[in-house]
Amino acid sequence: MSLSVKNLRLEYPDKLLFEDLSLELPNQVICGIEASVLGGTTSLLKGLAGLIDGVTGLIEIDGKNIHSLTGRQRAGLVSISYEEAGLISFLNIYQNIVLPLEYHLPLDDAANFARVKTLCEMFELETALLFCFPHDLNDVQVRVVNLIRALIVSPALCLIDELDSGMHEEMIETAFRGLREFNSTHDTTMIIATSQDTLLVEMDCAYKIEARKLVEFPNEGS
Amino acid sequence: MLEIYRKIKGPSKPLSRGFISTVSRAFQFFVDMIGTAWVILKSARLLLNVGKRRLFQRLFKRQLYSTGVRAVYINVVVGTLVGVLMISKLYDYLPGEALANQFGSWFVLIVIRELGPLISGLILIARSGTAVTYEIGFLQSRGEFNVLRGLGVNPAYVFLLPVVIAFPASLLIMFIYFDIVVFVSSYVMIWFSDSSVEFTGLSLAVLEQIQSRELLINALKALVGGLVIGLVSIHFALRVSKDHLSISNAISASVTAQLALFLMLNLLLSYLAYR
Repeated sequence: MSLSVKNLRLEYPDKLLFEDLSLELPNQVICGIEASVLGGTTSLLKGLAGLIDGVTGLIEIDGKNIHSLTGRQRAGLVSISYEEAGLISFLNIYQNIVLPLEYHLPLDDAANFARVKTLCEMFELETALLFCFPHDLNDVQVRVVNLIRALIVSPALCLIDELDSGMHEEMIETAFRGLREFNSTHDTTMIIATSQDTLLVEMDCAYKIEARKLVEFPNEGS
Repeated sequence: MLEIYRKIKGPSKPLSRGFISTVSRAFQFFVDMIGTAWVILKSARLLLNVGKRRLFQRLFKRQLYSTGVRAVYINVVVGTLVGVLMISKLYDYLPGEALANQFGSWFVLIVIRELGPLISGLILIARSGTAVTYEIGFLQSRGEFNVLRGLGVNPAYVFLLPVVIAFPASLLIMFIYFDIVVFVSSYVMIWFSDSSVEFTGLSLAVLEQIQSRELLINALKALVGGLVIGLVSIHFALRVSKDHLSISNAISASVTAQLALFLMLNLLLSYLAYR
């Protein structure tokens, strides 16, 4: 089992967002969560990644409790692709993407570049953009770069926050095709927050937030 | 009328309470600075890892280039002006030949010991202290420290350690630029009034006057001064919030604290070394 969440409670000082939430996902699954404005999906993804305080309950990735891991161990298991910002302003796009590789894995420059090139081709990101800075990119390009950086360490769990927002249909198709291609060659489980129902029904499983819990998203096919 | 004034101004504080609050704020400032320095120092152990060291080298070079190397232009301008001004003023007090004979000791006393460190420090504060406060404050306001934490990357290692190491190195480089430029411009001024004065002779006169003590004190001023300027920049930058005014407030407070601390430090070191 790649991801196992039991009795998760996520609470900010002024608001309780999730209570008694449970979720089990096997390896290599692409799972969707319906996102709504102020619905708490971003907080849920950050909570699952162990990035925010105020989260209790059990979150296990590949059998390891996320809260008992060091920063480095956690970063090797779970990564997050942010909906907005998320890149380091003074590093160029290539440096942003390889940052977790350079920091955690002693690979040489050629190996790093090969990984970046493969992912750029997968998600059709122009290589000319690699030497631009985050402020040169539009929102959609920033999101794709965030996604590539999240996938570059081949994590067990990748959490993707509203990748599709602002994208036109063709780009969404390209991104989803890229995710499927990555998924077919890696043991990564993905959770994608999206507001598009049409995208949710294409995923291996889908959930929506109801009464502070995740409930199965009504799939027409099921 | 007096009642309205009191309402606007609020209750007046007794003088002793104001003093205690200032002292406690100053104490808190130093405690925070020590805490920041400790966090950065702890991150320095990551330099033992080859892969992480390569990343650091790139970030350090970037910081050193923008702080130390690019400061050459302003150093040349200020150094030239100081050289020209110093020699023209000294000529008012000393005849040309006497000035040429005593140039070595004057140069060491005025430029190498005092003006070099002082003006280089002021340039570092104005050019780079403000820039680093803005840059790190901007990263802080955009939540980029949290992004690094999310990637399992130590933000102190990536954002802060290069600054803390590059600032003293840059200040030392700036001392050297400044001294060389002031020397050359002084020589040109002397040569205009007495063309028989040789560059080599004047250089040797200065070199003979430089003792290991001057070198040690200058290295200490660069090391401690650079560290203090870097740490103060970081300290105020880390207090930046999402409010857009907080960056300008941080820059203003940072420059004030840097100037006060750097001047005090310079005076103290000079007093202890040359009294």
